Amino acid sequence: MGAIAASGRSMPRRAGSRPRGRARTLRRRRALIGLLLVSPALAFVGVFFFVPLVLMIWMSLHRWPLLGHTSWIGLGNYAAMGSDPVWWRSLGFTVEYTAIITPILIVVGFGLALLVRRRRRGVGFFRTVFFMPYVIGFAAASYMFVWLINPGVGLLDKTLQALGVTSAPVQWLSTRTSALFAVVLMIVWKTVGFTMLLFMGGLQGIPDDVHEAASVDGAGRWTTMRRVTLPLLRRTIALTVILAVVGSMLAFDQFYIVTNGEPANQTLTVVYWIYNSSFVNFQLGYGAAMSVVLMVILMIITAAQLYLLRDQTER
Amino acid sequence: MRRALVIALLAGVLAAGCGASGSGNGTTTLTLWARSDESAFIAGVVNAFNHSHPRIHIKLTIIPVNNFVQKFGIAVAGGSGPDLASIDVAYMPLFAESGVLADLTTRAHRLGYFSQFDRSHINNSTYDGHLYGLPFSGDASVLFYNTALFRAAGLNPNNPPRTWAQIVQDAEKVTATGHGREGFYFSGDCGGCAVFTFLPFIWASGGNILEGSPAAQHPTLTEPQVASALRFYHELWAKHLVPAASPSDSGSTQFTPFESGKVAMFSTGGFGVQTLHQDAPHVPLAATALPGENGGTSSFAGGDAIAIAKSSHHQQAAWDFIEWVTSAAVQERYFGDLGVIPIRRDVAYHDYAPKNKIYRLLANELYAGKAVYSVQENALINDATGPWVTMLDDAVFSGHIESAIHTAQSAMSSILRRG
Repeated sequence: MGAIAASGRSMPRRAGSRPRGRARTLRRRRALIGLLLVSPALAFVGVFFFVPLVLMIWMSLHRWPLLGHTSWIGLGNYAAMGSDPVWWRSLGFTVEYTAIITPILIVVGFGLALLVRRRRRGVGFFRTVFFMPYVIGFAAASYMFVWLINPGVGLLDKTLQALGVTSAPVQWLSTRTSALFAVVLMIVWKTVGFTMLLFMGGLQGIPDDVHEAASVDGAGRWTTMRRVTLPLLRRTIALTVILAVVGSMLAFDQFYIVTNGEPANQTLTVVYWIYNSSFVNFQLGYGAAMSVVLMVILMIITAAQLYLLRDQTER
Repeated sequence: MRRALVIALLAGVLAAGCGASGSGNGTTTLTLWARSDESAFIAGVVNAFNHSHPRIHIKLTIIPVNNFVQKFGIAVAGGSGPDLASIDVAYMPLFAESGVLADLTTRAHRLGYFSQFDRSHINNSTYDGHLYGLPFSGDASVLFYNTALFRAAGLNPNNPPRTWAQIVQDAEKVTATGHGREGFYFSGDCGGCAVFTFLPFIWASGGNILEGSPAAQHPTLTEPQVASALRFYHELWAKHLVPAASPSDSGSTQFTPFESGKVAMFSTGGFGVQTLHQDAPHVPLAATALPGENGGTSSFAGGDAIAIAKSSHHQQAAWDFIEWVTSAAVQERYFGDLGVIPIRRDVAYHDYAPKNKIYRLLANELYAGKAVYSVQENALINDATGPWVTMLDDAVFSGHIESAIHTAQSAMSSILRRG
């Protein structure tokens, strides 16, 4: 009895082992209970992810104005993306922004984690200071930065001028490079605390005896880092890279508030363009089509990252 | 009688319940949304109506001009829009097509003065043969010039330029007099400004940017007049006859260079007359029609239409306002006297035009003017990311005229195909 139940539990899919009637009922009941237990989560995913996703794909196949009548245009919206220069420009800009900010977040986050990893006097203060900006909303943080970098009244320009670095207020948002720089600075300040936290968790998960063994074998700090610490952090690195890439590819609030797409919409991200198409130009179908394509792009990027950063042992 | 009373009471309860517009102690309250460009005169119009109509009270909300379409569109889509809206005629095709506005065709044709309305306005408020808004306020684009700078450059202020080559020549002469003077100004990063003041150059030369019925429209940027007009603006820019602020001016500082008294020519509309008189009374002002490449003239017939939301519970009260506001006395006193071109030909020529030369020119240009008719006007032209703004930027300031036209033509086709 017990053995059968145990085998039913540990080898549920083994072909050929046909459980007898009672065991089968038991298994079915267990499956039913399991299904019942996950059903709230399934319902949640269904209502808030699957249904909207299907609706979005359905919308993307229509001419769907915010007001008025919808009409079926098949793949017309997808075809139109090819000759929409704003779509290509915003996609290029978003990829560039992601490529700039992801390495900064990883390197700075890892550096901060190394600094505050060990318990010593005052370390709690620094951990709090580094992590604190993360709990501020993107919109609130963006508005803080808008005022910090404001050429007339901003603290940044006043400080730079007091230090003699600049002689006149800098129009931070007047060129593409400086506008992008301002946003990157703000996002690093705001989100690097979270990357730091993930790395701290990863570093604390590495047993001390591994490091001890390395130093007994005569490995220096650098070798230990390269040969021991980083390989053991592979999963953490994969997680932080994926989170940073997905977050940056979906960037919207910071550009909407800080740069407003200026100058001349050279800092327009894909999500910003989806928003403008849908709620400024009222072309909801086209916005939906771009959202579908962006989702597919993100799925491909994430799958590629998971493949490249997979565990050695799984190869 | 009792039945009507019950229905009226029920309607009142419903309206109060919706919270959109309340009606209590016999007064009907209507909401009216207008864009901020109209703030100079619209409060006066609404106050006058409220004073003369004790049973109807209009509550005015001014919406920032750049957010009007979005705010109004989302509000009416969500069923929380106003009863009345004063809508830029450029956006009327969009709202007329979408079915959120009340059909005014029958009532409008009963007005004794219907034939006096500006035809271009009526055309832009019509979709599929039905009329969804009546003309409210008029505007037209013309070329203003500083007569003192013309004189200083040895030009005759009574002989303004009538071709593009003359504009360039006159601009060169003014710029050559030094003292930081420059010949011509336009907002380089403002689609709405450019459609109002640059497109008429193309029209006056016989070209256009859109063709076809509203349902099957296509861009015509490859017509030679478009390239010529872009080359004309590029020449002004390349010869340093335009202030350096132009490429980054999104319209918010459009008056500043001309108001400084150092710019000779600047095209804008009737609303500009008031702004210039107020902000720069020292600039001696004259105006002429926007010319074509080798003569001819054209103008953008702009302004607002007044429309009733289909969802409004007070259709009759809203119509009472429209009838009042389009009456001759109101158009004369609350529009014409304040410099806004009356949208009725009889009022415009009887009371407004005789006041001065500029008003006469504005009236002539409005009633001879054209407008852009497209349900995608915002995406095509006003949107700062759109093809019209991008084309002007690439062609005028960088000189890539052929490629800018090619890109914009394909981008506009793309916008008109998708949805």
